[in-house]
Amino acid sequence: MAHSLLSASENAAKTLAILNEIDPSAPSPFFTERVLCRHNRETQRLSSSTTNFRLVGVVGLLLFSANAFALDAETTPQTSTEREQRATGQFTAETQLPPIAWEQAHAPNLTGQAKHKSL
Amino acid sequence: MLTGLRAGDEKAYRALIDTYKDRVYNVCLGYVYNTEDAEDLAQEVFLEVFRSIGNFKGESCLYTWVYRICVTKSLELIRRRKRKKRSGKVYSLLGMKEMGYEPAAARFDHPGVRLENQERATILFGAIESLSENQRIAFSMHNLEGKSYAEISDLMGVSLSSVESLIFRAKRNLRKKLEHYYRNQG
Repeated sequence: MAHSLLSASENAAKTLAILNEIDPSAPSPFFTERVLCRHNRETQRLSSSTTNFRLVGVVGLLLFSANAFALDAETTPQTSTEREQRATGQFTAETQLPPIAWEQAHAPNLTGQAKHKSL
Repeated sequence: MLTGLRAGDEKAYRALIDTYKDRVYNVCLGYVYNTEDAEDLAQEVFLEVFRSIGNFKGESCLYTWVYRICVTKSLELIRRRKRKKRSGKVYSLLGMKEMGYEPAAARFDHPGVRLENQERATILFGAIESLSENQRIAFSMHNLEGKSYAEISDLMGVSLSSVESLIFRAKRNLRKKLEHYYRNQG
């Protein structure tokens, strides 16, 4: 070995001196095509995932709209009276209750005898 | 070229790679000391450049911007390796096989080293690799890539005096390590 003839410090100095000779732009075994292929693959993957994302977005929007439409249809007054009442602000929960016959609500609980008397 | 890159023109991409591929590859190799990792990293650097070319404001030279990405990516890999090394130690303590990590031995041929210097270069890179991370980065930037102290300070985010001190200590430690190596050889 050539460096065995030199002292340790001389060898160290000589080895450190290599740094000045290193060419930072020396030709490398790097292939341009590989990067371009990777870039194209990445771009394709990105565009397909963007398409998928858009598709999911559109489907989501459609579902949301359909749901909102169904809800709207449920709460929209169907009869002309209901529509009028809503328009005039008279539409309350009470008016929505099914009509109860006055007699049914207030009639005394008549036994068979009392019923007979009243008749 | 910049307009073409921003427009996503493949010719411009090709021109950029052809212009900087050697410098980028050699810089990566100067940090990771492994030809496969250096090639992967160089590819990553160019992909990152293509992805974020819109963010390049043109305040500096294009290569300075590319170089910054190169350094960031290289340091990320070095830190990932360190984490793996640490977890590898834990695995070996637990009696499990170390997973996935192979220490980056300085056994590679730097394209910029002349053939007659290859043997010494292997010894030198081995010694540089054993320096502390900051000393190694500062030393490599200054001695392999010819960066000024001010540029290194900017790139590493440390003060100018810290850079001076890091490089001074790196040189001193390297000399000691090399002398020790040759003394043991002789």
